[in-house]
Amino acid sequence: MTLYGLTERQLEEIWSEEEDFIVDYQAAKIKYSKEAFDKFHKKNHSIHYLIKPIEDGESDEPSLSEPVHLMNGLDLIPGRLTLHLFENKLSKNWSEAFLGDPQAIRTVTAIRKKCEEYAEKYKYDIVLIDTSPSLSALNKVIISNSDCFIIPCAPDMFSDYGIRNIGSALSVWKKEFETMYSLLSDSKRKYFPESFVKLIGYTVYNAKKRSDAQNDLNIALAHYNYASKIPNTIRNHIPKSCLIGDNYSLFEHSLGSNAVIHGHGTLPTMAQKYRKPMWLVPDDLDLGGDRGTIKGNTGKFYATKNGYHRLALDVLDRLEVL
Amino acid sequence: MVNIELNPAVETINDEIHLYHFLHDKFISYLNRDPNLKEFVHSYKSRFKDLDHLNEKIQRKNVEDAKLPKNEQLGPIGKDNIKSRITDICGIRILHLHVKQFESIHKTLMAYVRSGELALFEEPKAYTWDPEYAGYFEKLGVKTNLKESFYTSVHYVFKAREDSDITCEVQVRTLFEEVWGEIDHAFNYPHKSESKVIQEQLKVLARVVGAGSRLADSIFELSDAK
Repeated sequence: MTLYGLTERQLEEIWSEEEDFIVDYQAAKIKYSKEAFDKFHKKNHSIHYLIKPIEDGESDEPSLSEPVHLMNGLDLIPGRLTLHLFENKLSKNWSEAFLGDPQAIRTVTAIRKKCEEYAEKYKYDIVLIDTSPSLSALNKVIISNSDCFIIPCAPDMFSDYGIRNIGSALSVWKKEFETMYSLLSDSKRKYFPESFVKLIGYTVYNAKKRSDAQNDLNIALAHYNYASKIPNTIRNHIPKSCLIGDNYSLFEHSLGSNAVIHGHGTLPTMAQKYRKPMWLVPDDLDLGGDRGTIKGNTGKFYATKNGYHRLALDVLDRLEVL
Repeated sequence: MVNIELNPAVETINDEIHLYHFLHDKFISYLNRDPNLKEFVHSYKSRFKDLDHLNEKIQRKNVEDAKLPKNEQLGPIGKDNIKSRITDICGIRILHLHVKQFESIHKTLMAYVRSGELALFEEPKAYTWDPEYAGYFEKLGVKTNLKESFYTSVHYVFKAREDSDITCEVQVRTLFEEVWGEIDHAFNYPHKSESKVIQEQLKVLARVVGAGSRLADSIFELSDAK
């Protein structure tokens, strides 16, 4: 998601400037005068830089770095490939958090806390965390400490098994968090969300559109076979307590009533190149050599808007249910 | 071998034994990390009740309960009340060198209770046969039971939180008291030895150990006064 908001050059600049802090936060910080550090800290930084003091057991900075402002109402905190270092720390601290160790609890809840601080300061309604497609220790604490999550699914066998794996992981994580919660004092419970995370929906993407397809999704049969299995897989494998709504009706179709299930070809690549939503790409004033290709497909670019708005509105409705 | 699956009360404990382990580990982490406890605790040991023997303990307690006058009986132990009736599934014993160190240990443990990091299942109780020590414990606000059996120890039953029913019994005693306690335990638990000789010798040993305890206190007191 970071590369949809920043150029590679911008991202490299952010990453390289904070490199020393990722190696050793305190050692890097003492090289700066107070004024110089305050100025540096205020600039755009990656999520790893922001939680690095917690990873290193140092005290957190009293002020927040500026998020990257993308457009009205939309900001971004860039990712960073070194986040596996934080994950190592997390794995070491995990069992200690059960014992109420303050540093371990601080580490386990670091990302949620950062999200809450940004949401409060910048008046965000929603903080969206784009995780890697794995059930790692990092994703365990990110997902378990979130209010809700969405599963993006390609219409293939891996998504079907992916949902099953998420279901069994959720059962284990829920038990672990409930165990931890049952042992923590009130003062430490406040770092965690009040209730365990819930799935609010799934979204199928990249399904091959076939207008002559004999199915309600208008997609190729091979994709339909997998896409149509998803509601059942969710019903059978995700614990009921981790789903929103009283019945399974919200999981009968992809978010936004199947609004964005079809593949968009090379449109997302252009969106990434021009760092704009697909429907705004044709109106970019500086399309250079891509101008002919993009202008020739303007209709296709514009047509994506409606589907993504339906998806976003459906997510908002489901957050209300939550 | 008792089949724990046959006893729903034991099964209740078995299902939640991991929570007892977590509470145990939390308490041990305090012993290993809290600077006050590190300074005054000489050593500690811990054990979990063998669930195969728990059934025997339930039966023994039920028999004892049934012998009590009707208005004092608590009723048989079952799955709904086992956690409040058997509070030593997890047991930790803290040993210290001389009696006066108890004050710091007690105050440190009670500070965890005040901050909500631990909770008390019941008020701590001091068991002693020595009126001088009884006065010392009372002064610290610890309710004291004068025991004829020479058993000497302060017992706490902690819970993870005020609203938790997972408990851990913690006994605090001096190394001298540990010696007597262990020898007495070897002969009188779970069934009291019928040998009069052994009982007499244990009484003598209690006095030797009592003198040792008092002497240790005196040595440290004189050394502090210097």
